[in-house]
Amino acid sequence: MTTHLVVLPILVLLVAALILPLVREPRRASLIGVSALAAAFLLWLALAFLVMRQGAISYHLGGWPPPVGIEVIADKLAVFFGLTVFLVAIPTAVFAGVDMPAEAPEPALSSFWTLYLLLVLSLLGLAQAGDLFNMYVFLEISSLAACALVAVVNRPANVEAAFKYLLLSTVGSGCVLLAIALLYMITGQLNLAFLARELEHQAPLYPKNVIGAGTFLLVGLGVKAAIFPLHTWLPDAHASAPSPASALLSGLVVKVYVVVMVRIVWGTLGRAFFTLLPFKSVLLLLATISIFLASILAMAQTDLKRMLAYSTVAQMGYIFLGLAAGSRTAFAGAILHIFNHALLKGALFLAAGAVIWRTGRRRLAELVGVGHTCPLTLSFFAIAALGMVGIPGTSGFVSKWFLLVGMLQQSSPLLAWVVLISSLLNAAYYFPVIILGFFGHGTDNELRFHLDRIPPELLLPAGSLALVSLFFGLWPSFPLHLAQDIAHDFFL
Amino acid sequence: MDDLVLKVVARVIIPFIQVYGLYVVLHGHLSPGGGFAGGVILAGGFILYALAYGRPALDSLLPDRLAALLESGGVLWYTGLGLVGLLTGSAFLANARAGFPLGVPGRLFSGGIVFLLNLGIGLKVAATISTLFRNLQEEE
Amino acid sequence: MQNLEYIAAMLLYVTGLGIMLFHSNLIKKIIGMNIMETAVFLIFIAAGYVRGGQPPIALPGEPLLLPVNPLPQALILTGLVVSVSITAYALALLREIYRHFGTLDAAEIARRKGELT
Repeated sequence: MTTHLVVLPILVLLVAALILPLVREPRRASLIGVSALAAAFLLWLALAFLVMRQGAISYHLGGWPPPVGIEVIADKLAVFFGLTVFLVAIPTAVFAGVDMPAEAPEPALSSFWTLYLLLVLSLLGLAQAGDLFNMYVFLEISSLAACALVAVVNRPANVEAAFKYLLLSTVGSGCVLLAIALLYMITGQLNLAFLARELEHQAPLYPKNVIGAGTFLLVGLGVKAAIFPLHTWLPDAHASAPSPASALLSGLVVKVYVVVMVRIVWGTLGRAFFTLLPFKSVLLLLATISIFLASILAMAQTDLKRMLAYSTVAQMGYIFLGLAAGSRTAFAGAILHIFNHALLKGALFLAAGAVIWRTGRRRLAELVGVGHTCPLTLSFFAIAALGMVGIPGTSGFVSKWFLLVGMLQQSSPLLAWVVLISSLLNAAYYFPVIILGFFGHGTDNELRFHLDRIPPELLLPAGSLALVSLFFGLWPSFPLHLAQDIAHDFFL
Repeated sequence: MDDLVLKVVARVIIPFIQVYGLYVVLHGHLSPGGGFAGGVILAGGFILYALAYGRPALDSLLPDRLAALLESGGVLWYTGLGLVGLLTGSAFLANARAGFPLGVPGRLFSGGIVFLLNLGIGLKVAATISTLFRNLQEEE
Repeated sequence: MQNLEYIAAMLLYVTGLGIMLFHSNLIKKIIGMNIMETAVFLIFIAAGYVRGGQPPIALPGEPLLLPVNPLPQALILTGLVVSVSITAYALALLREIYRHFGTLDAAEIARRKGELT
């Protein structure tokens, strides 16, 4: 029995994305965008419910069974990431409905919404893809849509950042395609399940192909997920993009490549792969460097959004650290951190966007005393920032706790130190913004407290993301159990 | 650019380009080729037309609005055909199972859904490639 | 001499990557990107090649002796489509970069961007 719920959310978004270019009024474009997302979310919730109750569902396009046909998978990993996507994408879309008309010229608005929906559907598609062919297609859709979202606003910095992003992510896609080619050469399969089965026999015979594929996969997905030496595009792109796009790019897009990596490397290439090449050690090393370097660079930034962008590089380091640490607990922590960081970074970028919308300032030095004019927004920012640092009670604490416990179980206290010391570094760049914002004296000496004069469409999305993440920090059982189940399925 | 040789040559070969493009689109299920390849050939005809007779000529032949309609419409047509399979109780993009007539193998009207899908893709690609060309050429 | 096409593809790949990394002209970077992608396509197509194979189209009365798996070709066709759209988008971005910065030299653009901020 096939259930069409697996493909319906993507189809709803696709149809809406295609109708949008024909809509002329920008007001209606944002309405269509938000309602399509809401409809897809409801369908996704139904799918999630079904998957939780009866396990993974495999859907065959056109009714052709897998090695010939295309397989779409809805398992716990897909459902988990899809829920993350919608939890961030819907508030961000509400925010964009008010914020984008202020940032982009009118003709760019309908293309913004088309790209937004295409990006969201490509993220869902990547999480659900059951074969490398589909994965490659959605990979390209996601990187093209992400690059285009950066350049929706035609300013010099945006165009330049988008070009850099495009070149590097094309190199990344090329590497991924090369890895697919190397795997196809020895197995003759692109479907993940069949490839895994075939690879068990072929990997000992053609170790060089497997090693090559692993290296190219690491480089290709590493570029897109912004791991240390390949992260150079991220600060430019995420800082210059319009705020809702930054929230989506930083919160979701870099993480989908981690999901893809988990599915291909852990779910398909399997144990033979880890014995053939030191994938985990390399990942550990790069992740550690990422964390420290990006945290230190974040401290040196003078621009609010640039600082947040560097913080994303550091947080991606945590995720990779947890995946590669070799402990099931840390693996679950890393998966959970995907969810937590998406919500937190979404909240941070939306709060920053709301402040920029209200004051027009984005340099940290000019944001001293901004808590007097936007107390609520800055409070939301503070909640999310505390989560980033990992203060107990916030969601960031839970995932970092699992990372720490996992690393101690693995008796690698050195890695545990990495997490702890870098949390201090996080505090060092987030706290000054909050403290100076609330207690500093700004240049305009506006000492009188008054509530934010910010429309609710901007305030509520940032607030809801921050509060939802706070909720999952206090009662983390739902995402945590899901992450533990995923770790159970995929951990090697 | 106003060149007599180009104009005359274009007038002679554009019909052949278009017919060949249509042939490749329509025979996608029978021979190598298909929607994308044929669509690019069709667009090649449009681009040659624009180069020989100037942008305004192409704009009157294929206005922006029509191109946008074809671009979205092509994929909507594809999705819609896919949904037929969903509505008839098999799967998304199902072919014979969704009740599309398969016809006689080897004839033009055969292959069920594949023929129809190629048609949509061909139109979409032709519109997209000519729009790409038009947007890049704008500077002159 | 069996793996000649792979060697050729790797040479192309390295050439493309080199052009992309070491040339400061942005148009040349796009050309390098295209060469690199072509190299990957060549590898995939070469991997799917069967000597004396037939197109996998079954017509009545013509038995298929050695049909070729069309998967690599299909994947590469998709890759080509993507490559076309990426190139078109990159060129469109370049036009805007030229409008904003008045140059297509990467080093010069970095310098002018420093002046802007």
